[in-house]
Amino acid sequence: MNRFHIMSVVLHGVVLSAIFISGRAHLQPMPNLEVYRVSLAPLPQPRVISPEQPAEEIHEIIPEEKLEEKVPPKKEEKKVEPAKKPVEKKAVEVVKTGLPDIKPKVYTGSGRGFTYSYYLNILLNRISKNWHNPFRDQDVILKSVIYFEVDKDGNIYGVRLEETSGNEIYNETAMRAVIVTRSLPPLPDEFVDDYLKVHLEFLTAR
Amino acid sequence: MNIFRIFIESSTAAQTIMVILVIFSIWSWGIFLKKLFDFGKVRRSTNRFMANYAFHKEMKEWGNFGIQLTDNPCGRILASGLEEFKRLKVRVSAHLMHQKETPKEHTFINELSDNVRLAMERTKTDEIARLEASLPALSTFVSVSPFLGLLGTVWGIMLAFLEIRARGSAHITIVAPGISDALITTVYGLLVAIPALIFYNIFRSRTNNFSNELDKFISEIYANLRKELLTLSQ
Repeated sequence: MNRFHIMSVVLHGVVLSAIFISGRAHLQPMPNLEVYRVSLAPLPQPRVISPEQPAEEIHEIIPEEKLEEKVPPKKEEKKVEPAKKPVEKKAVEVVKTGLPDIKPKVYTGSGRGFTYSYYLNILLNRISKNWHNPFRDQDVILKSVIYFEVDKDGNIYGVRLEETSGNEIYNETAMRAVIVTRSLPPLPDEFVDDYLKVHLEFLTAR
Repeated sequence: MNIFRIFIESSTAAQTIMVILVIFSIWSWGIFLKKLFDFGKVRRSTNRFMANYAFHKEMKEWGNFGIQLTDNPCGRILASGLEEFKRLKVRVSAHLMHQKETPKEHTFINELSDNVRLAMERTKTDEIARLEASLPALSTFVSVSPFLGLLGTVWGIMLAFLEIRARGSAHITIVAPGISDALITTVYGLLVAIPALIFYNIFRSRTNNFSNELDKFISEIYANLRKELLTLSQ
């Protein structure tokens, strides 16, 4: 091994060190986060909402085991059966009418109509991409209405729950879908108002 | 991408191949640096000699080049030509003392003068061989490194498929390690082979150019020495 090979070893060492150091530099230090211990609970099963039933009763979390212990299966079947019929009927209606999961009701700042359907399509696509419906393909009908406004630049603000579905998780996913979307393309140039009011219905459909 | 992490997490076969490739890389860069130094040295000393030779083209002045006759390829070629010429000169002089020159004798001198050219060509061959030393090793790295990388690739893919067969699942966590090994060894192989190929071509081309320069120099010296031999016979 002559001095040139030693030089080559040094050169390789330098290059590999540089790669190693640059690789480490890209790694950002982990932020100091507080750790919360959580115990997993079973996902609350959605129940069918009947118009007479008060909303507060619905998001009561009852562990599955308890349900099994307390309520004998026969009784439960009896209870559920009358409620199921209208649900199935509604779900069929949704399929038949071809309604999407998300349905917007749009109002302009001045109260005039909003005729730019392509913009609404973009709005629906963006938000539905961010929406993870936890009760997809289940025989339940839930409906949340989220209200928000879109300014000229397409920024979403003033997000709030306008109508609860009765299920907190479902409401949260709908709210989250809108909040995560954050911004949309700027409103059409021809649109004269300063902002757009959107009442977005999140509807489970099979 | 952290290459060290990839290396540590690779299989033993892939690690072995990568170590061999790193050794090849160190070796080929060592050859490159050595050759760069050698060629620079040869080029500088030859340029010095040729600058001197341009002003001293007479044969009687050549003996005064001194150390320049030994420190560069052109000088060594000239020295070997001169040595052979002196040997011939003695032989031709002795021959001419006893016999009167005839056309046949003239041919005899021509044939003997070829010995001068051959002596210089032998020296040139030695010089080129010295410059070309280690180039075969570089050529070997060029051809072997991609194949070693390919071996790692095939090995990694084979492992991936064996894992799939053993576990009965083609999940990404089963396939990914083998594929990762497969790809990284190919990358290493190419990283060694590409610079080695560039170095090899650079030095091959420099050697060819230098060989042509030496040929030109030999023909010039040979013409001068042959002329001197013929004047002896007249």
